Parts: sequence; C-alpha cells; structure tokens
Amino acid sequence: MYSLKQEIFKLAKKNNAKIAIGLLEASNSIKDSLKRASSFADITIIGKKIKGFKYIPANKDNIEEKEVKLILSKKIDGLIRGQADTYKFEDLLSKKAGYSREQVLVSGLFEDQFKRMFFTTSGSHSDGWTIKSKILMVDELIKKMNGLKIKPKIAFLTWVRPGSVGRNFFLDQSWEQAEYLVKYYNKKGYKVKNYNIEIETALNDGANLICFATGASGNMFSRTLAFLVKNPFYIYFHTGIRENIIENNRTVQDYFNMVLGASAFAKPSKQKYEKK
Amino acid sequence: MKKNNLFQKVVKSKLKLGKPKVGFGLARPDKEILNSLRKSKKYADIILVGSKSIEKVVGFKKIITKNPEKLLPELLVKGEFNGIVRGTIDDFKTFEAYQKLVGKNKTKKMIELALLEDAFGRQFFLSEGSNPLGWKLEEKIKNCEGIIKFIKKIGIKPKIGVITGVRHNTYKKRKSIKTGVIGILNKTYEDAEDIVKYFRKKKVAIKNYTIELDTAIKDNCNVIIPPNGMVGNQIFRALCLVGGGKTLIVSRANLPHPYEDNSRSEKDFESHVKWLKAWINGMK
Repeated sequence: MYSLKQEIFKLAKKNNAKIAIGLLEASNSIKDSLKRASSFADITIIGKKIKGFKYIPANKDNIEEKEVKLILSKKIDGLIRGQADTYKFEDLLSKKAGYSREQVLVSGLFEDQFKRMFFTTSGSHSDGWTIKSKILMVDELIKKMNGLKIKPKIAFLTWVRPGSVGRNFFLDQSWEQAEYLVKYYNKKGYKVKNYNIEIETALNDGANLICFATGASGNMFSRTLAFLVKNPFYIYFHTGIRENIIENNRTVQDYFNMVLGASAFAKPSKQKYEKK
Repeated sequence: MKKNNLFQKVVKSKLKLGKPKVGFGLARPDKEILNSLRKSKKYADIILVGSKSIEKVVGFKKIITKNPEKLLPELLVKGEFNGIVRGTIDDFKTFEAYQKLVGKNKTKKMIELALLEDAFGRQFFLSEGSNPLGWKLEEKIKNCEGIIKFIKKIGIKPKIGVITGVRHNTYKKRKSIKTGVIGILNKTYEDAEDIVKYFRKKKVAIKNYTIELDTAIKDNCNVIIPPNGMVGNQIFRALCLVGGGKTLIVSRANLPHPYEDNSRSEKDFESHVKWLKAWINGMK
C-alpha cells in the first residue's frame, strides 16, 4: 500500500540535504533527536555548539539574521527556524527576499492516530482569515502535493454547522467563505467539499488537504495533535516562498520530523519516484 | 509524564450509592453506541427515548415518541429520570425544551464543561467547546466562576490555564492594533489578562499561558479556558476525534437537574453514564 510517510523517509534519505537549524539551547532530548536524524541530512547548527555537528555561532540578538542570510545564500538546501523568534525571522525574511508579509505562510503535514496523513493550512494564528489568504494557501499546498505526486482531496472547515447558519454574522463568514471556495475549486476540477466543523468526517472521507476556518483554529488543532498525542508525526513548513523552510513550535523538544521534512522537501522538482 | 486522574478521583466514592434511572436520547439505532450503552447498564437503568426508528432495538426499556427532544427533558423535570444523557437527538431543541420547563432564570448560571483525557492520561476540564460560546470577557468570567464552583463542590482544587491567540512578545509589539484579525487576536490576550487579574484577587491558581496549551497541560492545569468556543471546539476535535484522546464527560452544569451532554460524533457513552451516576449520587 502507498504510504506517504514512507515516501518522506525515502526522499529524505535519498536527498541527504544540507540543512541548518537555529538552536540557542539544546536539551538532551533535542540533541538525541538530531543524532537520530543525522542519517537523513547533513546538519549545521546556528547558535549553540553541539558536539558532532557543524556550527555557525549566533546569539539571541542575531540568530534570525544569520538564519535568513544563510538560507538566501543558497549554501544550504533547507532551514529549520528552531528557536529563533517567528515574527522577527519572518519579517526579516520578507524584507531581504522581497516577499509581502502575507506571502510567508505556514502549512502542516500530519499523521493522525489512525495513520491517515493530510496537509493542513494555517499553522499561524493570523493566517487564513480571508478568501484570498485561503486560496493562496490551498494553491501552494496543491503545488506541494503535485510535487509529491499526491492527488488533492480538499476539505474546507467552518465555525458553524449548516443548521446553525444565520444565527451569528461573525461565525457565518467562515461558512460563506467555505461555500465560495468549494465552488471555486470545483470549477478547477478538484474534489472538494465543505465539511462544516467536522474534521473527523473529512478525514474519514479521505480528504488530504484540510483548510481550517482560520489560523487560530489551525494553530490550536496542530498544537493539540503535536503535544497531546503519543508519538505524533508532523512537519510544519513554509509555503508561498521559494526557500525550503521548516517551521516548528518553540517549545518542541524533538526535531527528528523537522529534519526529515527539511531534507525530503529539498529540491522536490528533481525527485523522480512512483507510487507503489 | 504525570497522569492526572480527576475522573477516578471524583466518581470512585459515589458509584456505590445506588443505581439511578437515566434517560438517553437516541435518534436512530447505532451498533457502536448501543454496545457502549450495554456496557453502561452496570451503572444505571438506561431508558432510551427516541422516535419509531428505535422501536426494534432490543435489551433496553424504550419510550417511543414523535418528539424525543421535548419528551426527554420533560421526563427529567417530572422526576421520571434522575438524570439524562442527550445522546444523538438535537442539542438545541432538547435544551430549549428544558429551558421552557424550568424557566430561563434557572438556566442563567448554566455552564458547559467537558473533561478530556490526552494520550498520556492527563485529564483536564475544557470550559468552552461550542463554537458560538465564550467570545466575550463577561461570558468567560461567568463560565470560569461556574467551573470553579462546580469542581470545588466535587472535591477538585482548580488550577487554571487561560489560552490566547497571541504570545506575550507578539502582543507587546502589536497591542496598538484594535481592528481586523490582529485586533481580534489581541482582544483574546487582553481578556486573558483580565481573567487572570480577576481570579488572582480571589486567590485562585491561574495563569495566562498565551498560545501554549501544551505548557498549561504540562504544568498540571486541570481547567483550560480557550480564547473562545471555536478554539475550544477545535481542541476537543483534534484531541478526541483525531488524536486518540478521550471525552470523559460533557456536562451542562449548575442546572436544577443532572444534564449530561455530548458531541454528536461520539460513539462511546460509558464514561458519560458512569459520571452521570456519580453526579446524581453526589446530589443525594
């Protein structure tokens, strides 16, 4: 049976990409996760020296600058933001690379407890509140999935069930957006449906691209799946930009999946592999 | 990882106190739900209330009616049931019927609270799980007060984690923005700070964890106040319907009668019935 997770492992191994990660502090758990991941990527640490890894010195005042400089220099194939400040990093990246702030988006790839894998929009609270932002994110994910030879089945989520539409103008907006977007992607030939508040039904139906009602719900969904379940598999990554940048929660203690993602997603257009 | 078995702590002493009569709203027969109810019979006499479609269900006492949403709360108020589980019949209609019967004044202090368990056995009450609820500061304070009162009554000392849509540093940088998406997110932070101030004055253990739900749980918070019902609903769905966590109870508390609610997507009702029994017995 085709397994996207296996493909990610295969790709990462095959690419063994040059990646860097920003770390100002490293617990034993972080060090251990990097050691486990080192057979999938050539890892450089930006920040704190860790025995066994290449190192670029940086401190809390300049880590974002060093990260942005390195990824834009193209000396590495991918970057994991790590412990650098999200907003400082994204602001600097936008400025130096010439992106609008709205272009720098965060998406996710998750495997749930039932071994279903799916891509998600809106990892950041402020993303995905408008139709424009949702189209941008969904289009970027479709590109990513095409690169991995996966056919998207899109689910739009809302804040209201169909029976509750009309009671609250604010919540209704998410419904109207979902209805509009279903038509929009339907016309483009995609399998797409408004699953209202029921992500569980969307996943049962085999949806593999989940568009949250807003970034606030997306972030909390991701956080819950990442931290309150056992052995989670997830990769957050930036979309909307040219560089291969992996995102993470700052409190994360295990970077294995992030290294795997950074290596697997490096130069995806050059990859040639087939579904089994 | 430290387990936090609130459920066991609360129900243990009260389960031996007798077998109550519990009404369960069943919209249509469902194999999984009926199996879980069969297992739950050891805790209560379960009477199914539903339309003609449940007529052929065997092994349970049944009350067939054209309008289960009206009859279930009616039998509760009349004292025919000691408590109810709403089950798979309509949420809004059932509660509306109950409100009519007891009077709106008696439901004003009602709070919704769910007890969830993550994959590491850590249990916590979630104050808002319904999308339209919990968007206003007054509402959040009212709910928080209700939860504190309720869980103290059942023997649990509250430790509250308030969640926002923005981190401390990001809020500081953008706090002048009052409109649009950033304005909405900033408001969640300001509400959280007000909630913390309000309850610290009342000597309650409470902290604004910003977006870090995970840190709040790690710190053994036993009550989580999400920024609004929409985020609360998302936490519930991610954890219990996708992430392998459990919903142990979903109660409409501080009402005149024991009224157990649930999500329409749930299939296992054993912990709901077990809890309802302890709740009913605790009121004796």
